Amino acid sequence: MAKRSKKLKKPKHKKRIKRFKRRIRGKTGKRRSANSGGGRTYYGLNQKFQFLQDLKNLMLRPPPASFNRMAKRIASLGRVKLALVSGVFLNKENVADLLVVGDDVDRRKFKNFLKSLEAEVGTQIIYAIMDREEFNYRRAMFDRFVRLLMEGPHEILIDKIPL
Amino acid sequence: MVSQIFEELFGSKARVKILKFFLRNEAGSFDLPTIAKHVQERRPVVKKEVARLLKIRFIQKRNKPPKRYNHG
Repeated sequence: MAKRSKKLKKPKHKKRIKRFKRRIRGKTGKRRSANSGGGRTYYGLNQKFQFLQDLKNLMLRPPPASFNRMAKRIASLGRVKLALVSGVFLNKENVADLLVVGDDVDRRKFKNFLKSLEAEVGTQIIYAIMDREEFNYRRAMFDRFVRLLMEGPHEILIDKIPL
Repeated sequence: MVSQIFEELFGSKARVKILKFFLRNEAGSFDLPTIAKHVQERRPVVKKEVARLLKIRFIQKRNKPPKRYNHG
């Protein structure tokens, strides 16, 4: 009995070592050097770049995405009842940048949309997504988040909620 | 519309996105795969653009471990 378990154990153990080596060395079996494609070099903004302030004024001031195009894309995600932007999209401070209210919103599509939007904007987007019931409930009880968002500076992209 | 103007002006969509990415993440430093992931462009394209920006010293090489990508 003891012999058998020993026999079983050994190859398993070796396999694990092999797998581990592969992980740290890659498929070629060579040890990865610090700079070879593994992305060990980091790049950061040069704070002393001579046109830094001008570039910032030029590129960060206008709205980072076309609202019209965004509205169309959001509308295609599901039965969206309300969509509004704030925060980074308007260069104003607010609790969130994007709010989407809708039923049956395709979460995977939404994630993809968000990713491409973040790529365009250049930063993370703080968003909230909820169904109509939750939105109505939050609004009825003067939920802090929804209230701050709706009272602060914002731009409505889609509004199909009958008041 | 605005983004179209930038793309034409700077000659590349990827370049515009990388510029914005660095301007919005002033304090951070990022490796190529991270930049490519965030700007949603292919690695070789990003590599080329980063080399260009490095040449004009818009960005610098840093050895420090990267700061986290964050909002603002």
